[in-house]
Amino acid sequence: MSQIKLAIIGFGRIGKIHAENILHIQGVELAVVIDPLLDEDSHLFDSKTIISKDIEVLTTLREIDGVIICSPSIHHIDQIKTAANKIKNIFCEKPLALDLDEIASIQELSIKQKLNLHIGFNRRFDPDFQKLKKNIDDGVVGDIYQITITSRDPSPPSIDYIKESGGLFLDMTIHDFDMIRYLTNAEVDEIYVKGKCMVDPNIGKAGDIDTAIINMKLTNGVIASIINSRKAVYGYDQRIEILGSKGSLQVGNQLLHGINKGTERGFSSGNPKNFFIDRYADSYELEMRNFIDSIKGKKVSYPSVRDALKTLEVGIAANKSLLKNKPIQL
Amino acid sequence: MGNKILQVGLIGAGRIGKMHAENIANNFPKVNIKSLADPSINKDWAKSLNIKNCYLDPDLVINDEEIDAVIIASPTPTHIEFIKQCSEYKKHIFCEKPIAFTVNEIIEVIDIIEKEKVFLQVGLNRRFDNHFQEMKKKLKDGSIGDLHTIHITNRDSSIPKFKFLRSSGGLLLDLSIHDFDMVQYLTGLNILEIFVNGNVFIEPDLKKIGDIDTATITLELENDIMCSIQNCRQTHYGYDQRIEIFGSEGALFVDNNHENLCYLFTDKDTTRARLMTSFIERYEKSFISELNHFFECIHSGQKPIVGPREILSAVQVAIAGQKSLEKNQPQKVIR
Repeated sequence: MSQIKLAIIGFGRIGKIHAENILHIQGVELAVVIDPLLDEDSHLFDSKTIISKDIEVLTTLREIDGVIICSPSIHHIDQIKTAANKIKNIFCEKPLALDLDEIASIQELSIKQKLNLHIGFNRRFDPDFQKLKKNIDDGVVGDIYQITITSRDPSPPSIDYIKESGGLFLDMTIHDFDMIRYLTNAEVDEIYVKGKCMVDPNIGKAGDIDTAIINMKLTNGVIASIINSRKAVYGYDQRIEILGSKGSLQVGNQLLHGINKGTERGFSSGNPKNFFIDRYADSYELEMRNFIDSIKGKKVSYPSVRDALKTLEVGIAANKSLLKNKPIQL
Repeated sequence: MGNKILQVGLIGAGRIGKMHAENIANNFPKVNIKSLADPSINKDWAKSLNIKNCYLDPDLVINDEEIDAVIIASPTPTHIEFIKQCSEYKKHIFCEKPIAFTVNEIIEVIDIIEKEKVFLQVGLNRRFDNHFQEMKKKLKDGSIGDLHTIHITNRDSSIPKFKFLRSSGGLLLDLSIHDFDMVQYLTGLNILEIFVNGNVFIEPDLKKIGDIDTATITLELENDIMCSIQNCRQTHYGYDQRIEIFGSEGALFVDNNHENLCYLFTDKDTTRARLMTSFIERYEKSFISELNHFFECIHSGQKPIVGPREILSAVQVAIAGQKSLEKNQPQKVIR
């Protein structure tokens, strides 16, 4: 296969991460970047890259092998539909959509047009979590009893972002829901959540929560819990712990540095890495390599539309549980 | 403590009763264990601790006029009766948790000890753990700003025999009760609501008696504080005891103790010992501190900081938890 040509739609924070990773992968070029806010003479990484404000450019260009959608999530569905007319290989950031019917329509389209549609649940590609998954699947800790994810952001996003985000569960916890499904090879059977606004009253005024404890039963009997906060002053707190019939597995935080300082006042060491761009840097590259491998025809496993649908179902049930203060069956 | 030798009786010399006796013999020169009562006594052991009298009949301990205080470490179902008798004979009482499985029995105990003017300290030893005390101090002095959430992991190393489990009162009254008390102790706040997500993974016979061996519990406290508790009867890797408190300006964490501090680094990996096996090792110091507190209270006439009211509060949470488990719904704690 000759040079693989990719297009990126949406050149915000996450679009730039993907662009940079693509430029480091051999045999791949970033052919087009589409973003309404980019000037046509914006200097990108590669002088050959075409810059456009309009997605229609995809229909006029020949030979685009894959498209990566990183626009705001309200545009995802339309853009997939447009892109799918010409391109089969599509990578779309999470959340695919905040509406079950919309995802169902994409699922249908995906089957009909035989799309190779990957969803950006990047954490599945984190090397630590991959090792964790392999240990679980190899039976290192036997049957799983309990799984707990701690997932806290270092600081909340803007109130404008929160208003559009779909709420804590659909924006933030959605990654944790997917991780639990992925690691346990099971679906969520029942969910009970407690959520409060503790960090910033403006988040509450915007109708959202910023702190939550989630307690779930999975289809294989496993007890799963998630601990979320929008603000951990000490950094991006990302941990997973599993208890099984033969023992436990833990993935701890990755730290900013390895220095451990001891003085008469005690010891101090590095905080967790700042945020997802640092903590999950490897995972973004690996998910992109996985997408490119699939374009090359290699058989790979990847987060699919079904995963987007299942996690959204859990997120919606979480919102319902919050409202009713009752466990909700899926 | 004063110069008078305090005379103590012990009822129940199982694992924990023996531990208390050894702690007294090794740490409190002004306390003497005069008598003990147990259906199966190891006389050599008693002799090694200079315990003069070994009885089968607990009455002989309780009736003894020379005895100032009694330590009750017999099986839980016997606690109430012994507490009543000890109160009547004006003995101060140290009783293992949870003293009773029902609210009414504990309320009855509160009335009796107040009427007879004796002290009853309950063995919620974890309150005396120096690590948790430091945590409480740091929470109180504002080190992590406003309190948001608390997370406790409390897992046993290996599951007790079914015979014990059957009379333990169940996971919530036996194991989680420490966590309910700890949450209320650390925060000074009452638990308002509980949701128990439990399952039987290890001991299938528990299903027959409506008990569980593994649970993840969600609590809501006063002031919108949320809490999660992870319990399990068996880890294999040791006694897993961790607490994390999360706040607006930081977090606090008390980690596990390992059996030893030795690491081994090889070309394959880095390894170290498993966690301490049981509460006796992990909370070693706290068991001495709680007795110290009890003896000091008797000497000074100050009421112990952890008595029947504190255990009542934790039992009320456990009872609401049992209802939550049965109904699979969150339950308000009835006070």
